[in-house]
Amino acid sequence: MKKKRKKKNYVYFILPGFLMYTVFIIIPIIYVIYLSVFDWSGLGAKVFVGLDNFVTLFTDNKIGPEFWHALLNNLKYMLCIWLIVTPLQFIMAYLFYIKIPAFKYIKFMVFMPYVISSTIVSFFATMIFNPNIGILNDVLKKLGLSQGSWFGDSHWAFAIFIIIVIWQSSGSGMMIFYSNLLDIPKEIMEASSIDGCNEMQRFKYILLPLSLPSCVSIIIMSTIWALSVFDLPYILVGSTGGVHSVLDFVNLVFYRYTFGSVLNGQTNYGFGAAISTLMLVVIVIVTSVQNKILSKFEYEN
Amino acid sequence: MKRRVISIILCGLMVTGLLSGCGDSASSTTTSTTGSSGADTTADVADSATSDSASAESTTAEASTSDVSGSLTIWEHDTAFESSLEAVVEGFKAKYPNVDVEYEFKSDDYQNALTIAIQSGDAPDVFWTNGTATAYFGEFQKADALMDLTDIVDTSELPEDGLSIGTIDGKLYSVPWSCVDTRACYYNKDLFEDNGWDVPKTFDEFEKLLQKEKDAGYIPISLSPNNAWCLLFAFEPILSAYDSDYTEGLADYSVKATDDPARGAMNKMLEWADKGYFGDNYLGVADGNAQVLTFTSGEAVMDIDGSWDTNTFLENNPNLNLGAFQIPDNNGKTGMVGTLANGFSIYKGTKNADAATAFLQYCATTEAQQAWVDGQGAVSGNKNVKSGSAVAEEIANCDTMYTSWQAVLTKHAKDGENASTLFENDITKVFTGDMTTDEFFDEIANVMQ
Repeated sequence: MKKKRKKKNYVYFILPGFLMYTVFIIIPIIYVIYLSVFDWSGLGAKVFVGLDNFVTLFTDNKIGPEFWHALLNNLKYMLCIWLIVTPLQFIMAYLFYIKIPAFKYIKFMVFMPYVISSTIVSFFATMIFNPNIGILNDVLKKLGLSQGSWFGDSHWAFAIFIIIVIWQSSGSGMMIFYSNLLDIPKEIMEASSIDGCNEMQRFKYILLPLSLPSCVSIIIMSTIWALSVFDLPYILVGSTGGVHSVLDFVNLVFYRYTFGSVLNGQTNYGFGAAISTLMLVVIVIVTSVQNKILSKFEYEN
Repeated sequence: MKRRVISIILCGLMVTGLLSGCGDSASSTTTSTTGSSGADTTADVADSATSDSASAESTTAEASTSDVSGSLTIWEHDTAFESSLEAVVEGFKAKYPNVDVEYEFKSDDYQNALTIAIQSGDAPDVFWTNGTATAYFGEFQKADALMDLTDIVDTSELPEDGLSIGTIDGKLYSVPWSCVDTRACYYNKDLFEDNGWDVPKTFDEFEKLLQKEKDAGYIPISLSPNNAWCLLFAFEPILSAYDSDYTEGLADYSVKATDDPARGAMNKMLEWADKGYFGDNYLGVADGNAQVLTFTSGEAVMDIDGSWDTNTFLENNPNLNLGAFQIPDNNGKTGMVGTLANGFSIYKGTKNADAATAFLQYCATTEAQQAWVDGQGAVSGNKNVKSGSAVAEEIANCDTMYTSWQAVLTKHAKDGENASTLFENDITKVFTGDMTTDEFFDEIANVMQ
């Protein structure tokens, strides 16, 4: 009798959160999947078109290549995060772990940008990198070096974008790695130094493998984030995706085709819902594949 | 039993905490203000009120001002119109003191926010639209979102051409403003004086002036190629100077939007881009704001932009000695490419119909029209309303008025096609080199009548 009572009590605690989650997250997702088979401008009647929206997305002469190019950009960005940003975060966490000089100050400075909203960061980036009135070109002019158009130059735009991402988001990953490193029991470190381990070996054979659990969670989160990035490129280059579409991501394509503009405006919510549904499927597949592969590296106590 | 009750109470507290945390997180890019008083603008409104405009409306309105009460929510689409709206609301409240007025500017997200609001039944009482120049105006009318103003608002003080932008099937759905939304070539008078440059009288002189400005080390024309509308507002005046006969033909569609003169004008702009007349690094200018800042900071000598931005330039840099001219064609002929501006509509399901009607009626008076034009510093398209500033007079100082090329795209597209959206998505590609001029115009020609 008493055991049953205990079970019911915790259900009450879960209920509010569960209801909120269902109402604000699950139900809208289901509604979007439902919308994706209609042609609807936001007002008036919904016209059922079946899988037409998806067919247009894949095969239309104009939209198709744009979409695939944007998806490729997302994958490129994802690879940059896996191969550049995450190792950088780990190296920084390691440097703080071994307590390089002034590490507390540097740790604080590295973490600060993460607190600033990404909208503000990208707005200031447009001010700094503006070719005519921006600070960077001003400084370069005074030093006598050649100036560039930065976001107007397709060779530089993506690189600068990654630099901004590194500047802003290293903080979060670095903190997760750092706290993971701090969690490694002292006994292991002492045992390794007794066994005659040098720094490189300690790094390679002890710290790295023991950091993999946090690595797993960071990689999964940053993959989802890379596939759905929107705010940074939207403010940096607008909804067109920049010169030669180098910063055109899937969510920018979604924004362009779903919402019109103030002065002209042709909205198509059904088509946008189709893009969203497709990305939902992609993210679910990628995440479950990742989970399977990376679960090997989870902590096995 | 006790444990269950305690857990339910604790859950309730948790939910209350969650809800209070969740609330009020929805406001994003809107600036919402209640009508605040601007001392200078109210003085102007009072002056113009005491002058002419003795219309029947003002007497009947004065007789019943205390009867109308309620609250009004007004949505406008661009903070460039804030001073105008403030002035009009001040004048309205002077007549109808019992009405509470609140207004919001939704900027980038305007059309989407408005569509969602109408669809959810929770639309503002009064909102701005760009009338028949947009696709969504017709959709709003079909969805029964617009109140028919034909018999409720007296529009005798407004110019005929202005009314057509808000009319569908002979019925009026919005009250226009007397501003001519036109474009002009703004220039920095101080730089012109210091370098001994003159306002050009022919198109060839204009081109030579560009080279002189570049040689002097400035950016001749500030331009953002990453925003379709910045490109359009520069393209249309250049087109009218490149071939004025063709531009006149656009008014009655006796020439097609994609004929050779249009292609030639765009190629001319691309030629100028290659010569560096927009700045060597102009591809990096992200949007209209960056374009304006380049001009107001003195880096660029000229900016071919919309007339509604006059006050924005002056607010940006009050020390800027601003002038404007229309680019002449090779015979010295100048013209304004423009459309009469559209104004507010009433949401059909409004709960404040009396207050909203009174507001739009006030907007249709010469007094409000003058206040709006003054707030913009704009060019007036109404013989009863003076242009709003010295710069506006310079803009209006031209021989004729032309139709906007983009308006032709909206009016004469094939049924069911949207040439204007195509232009908006692809014109930036022409300037970044992803598409040739011919490909762009051919693609538009395919969806035009």
